[in-house]
Amino acid sequence: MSIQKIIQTSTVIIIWLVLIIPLYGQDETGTLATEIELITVKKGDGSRVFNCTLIDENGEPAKSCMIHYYMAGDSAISLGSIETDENGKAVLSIPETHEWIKDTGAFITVSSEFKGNEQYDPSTIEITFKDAMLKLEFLEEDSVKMVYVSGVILYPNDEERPIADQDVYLYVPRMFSQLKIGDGWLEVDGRGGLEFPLKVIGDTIGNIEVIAKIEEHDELGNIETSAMINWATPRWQHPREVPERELWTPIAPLWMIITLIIMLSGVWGHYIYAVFQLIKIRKIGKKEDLTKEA
Amino acid sequence: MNKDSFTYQAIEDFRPRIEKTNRLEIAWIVFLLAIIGLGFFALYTQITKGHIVTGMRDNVVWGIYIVNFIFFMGVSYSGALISGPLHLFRANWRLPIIRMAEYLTIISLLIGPLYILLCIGRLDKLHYLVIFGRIQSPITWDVIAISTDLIGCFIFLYYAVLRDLASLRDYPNLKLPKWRKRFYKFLALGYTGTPEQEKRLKRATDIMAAMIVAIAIIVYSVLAWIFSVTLQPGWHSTIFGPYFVIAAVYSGIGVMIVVMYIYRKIYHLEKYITKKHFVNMGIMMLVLAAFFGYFTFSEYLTKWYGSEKNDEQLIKILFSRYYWPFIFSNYVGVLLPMIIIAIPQFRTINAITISAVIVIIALWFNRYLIVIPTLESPYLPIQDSRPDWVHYKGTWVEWSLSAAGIALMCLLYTLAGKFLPIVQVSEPFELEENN
Repeated sequence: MSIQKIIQTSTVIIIWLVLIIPLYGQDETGTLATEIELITVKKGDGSRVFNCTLIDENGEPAKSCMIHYYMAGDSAISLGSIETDENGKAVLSIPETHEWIKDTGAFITVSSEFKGNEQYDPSTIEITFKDAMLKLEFLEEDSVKMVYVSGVILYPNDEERPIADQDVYLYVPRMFSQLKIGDGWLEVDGRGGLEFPLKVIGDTIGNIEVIAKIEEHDELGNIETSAMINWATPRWQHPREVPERELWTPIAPLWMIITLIIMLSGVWGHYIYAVFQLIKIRKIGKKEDLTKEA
Repeated sequence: MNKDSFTYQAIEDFRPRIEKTNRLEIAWIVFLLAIIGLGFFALYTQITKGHIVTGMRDNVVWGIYIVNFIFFMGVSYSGALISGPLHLFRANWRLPIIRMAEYLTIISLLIGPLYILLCIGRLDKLHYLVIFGRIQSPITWDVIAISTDLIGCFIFLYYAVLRDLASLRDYPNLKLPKWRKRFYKFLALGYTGTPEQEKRLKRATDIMAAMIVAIAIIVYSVLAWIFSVTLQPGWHSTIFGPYFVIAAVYSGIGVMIVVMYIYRKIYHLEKYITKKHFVNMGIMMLVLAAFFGYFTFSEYLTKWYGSEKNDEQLIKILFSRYYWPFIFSNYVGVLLPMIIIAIPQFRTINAITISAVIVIIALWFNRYLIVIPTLESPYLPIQDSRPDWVHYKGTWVEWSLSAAGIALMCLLYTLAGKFLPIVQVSEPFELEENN
């Protein structure tokens, strides 16, 4: 082989070593690709919550990763930074007083970014939504209890436009989750009414929290509001079950108690008689002793 | 006391044992105390380290302790059967052995419930059984029944020994410490055998003899119902009550024969305890073997024939993992005693005693096979348990405490035999002078 060929071959090998191997080496460093998900919920008190979930390429939650929230797509306007928990979730709550930057279409843009670390690759997501709110109203008409939900989209310059032609759902809180009690429809005017169900159980005096929600709207995200009303069935109105005399109740069946009393009385009565006879035997013995001494 | 009377002569025979303790007896007592000491060490280990030192786990929650409890309770019933009905039938042949039977009843009743206490994890909450006991619970029935039985048996024993206490009080040549003579006098209650006292004694003894039989049947049935009212395969059976009663008497008679043999051999009581006693007890054992075999067959036939899934699983376990204990307890333990006693040529004291030993071991295994295999084959499959926790195996703690219970029983029996003659001396009976 000529010297020229040797040099050419060596050069190719060196280039391969310098360029290719680091790429393979990079795979061996173990960073995982990540996927970020962001949803927003407008609360009844006017605050807005951003729920960000970070998962790795295996579908496992990415823990202890710093998520940065920004507004209007401009990384200079930071909303806050939250570290993900053991479920890969980072929740940011923005109070009602916050001044949102809206574009001409009244859209708000918020992004969440994970800048990466030794373990995970960076990822980012951006969502746009309009600010909106729901209101609850309770009216009793002809003994029918109606719940009215009205929704408005908040535009710049304090302009409000109704949320039209939209599903709205009613919930009540239960022990582990919320129970859906009705579906409604917001009409063109942004108002919809639905009948409050009769047999909803509240607290001991009939109070219950009613939650109205618009879920996963393309433009509005998730919106909810809640209010208390005294329309529920008081908890103690249900007749308390008086424990009957059963095998499994605290109080035994009557036949069992009577049988036991009869049996034990019979047995212990004989015992008492036998002990009484012993006492009599002793008394006779003492009398005999006295007679002998005399 | 007339020197020619039966009582005087009998006390003369037993006086050496009551007055003195010979070297053999001392060695025996020391040996028993050593075993009991080992038991205490095992108990200390169990209390300080918890029940993890036993073989009981989440699945098999009952083990040797419960087996021993059932066994000892069964032995006590045989004592009640021999003393009670034989007293009512005025069977005179029982007189030499009746004291042994009465002691067996009481001592077994004292030892048996101790095993329940060993099985309970939280003894500091034992009083909850009384405070929070539910009348619907078979455990509550058992507590009431055993307490009632114990008191009834004590009263019956007291009536049975009253004459002997009076005889010892009146015996002139007894070389005992003053405190012991005073103790006999105190316990004798001034009994002098007047017609009025005799009438009252006889009436009360007859009543108590009837009562202890009835109570013993109830007690053992209640013990059976603790198992049979559950829905466990192998336990939920309508015939468990009478089955347990029969098994109890069967095992108890076996123990009684062994006790008779030991006392006859060691204390040379051949003129008191004769071959006739062994044969009579043996015949009772034969009859009970037949009953026991019948109940056992009926129990397992119905389970096997019904082909219910969990019963099948249980029978499979019995015929695989527990094959030899099953064969021994339900075949050898039934057939061998029957053959030995049924054939007159085999009816010797030694052969009857050997068959009694086989019965005792077989019936202990019978209780073991009732308790443990059922717990190893529950309705809900055992999941996520370590393999060594699915199957029960007794540990040294449990075996030590079992041995300690037997040693305690032997010790109490020995001491009782030192306190009063082991053969009742007040009612005359025919002695076998040539034996």
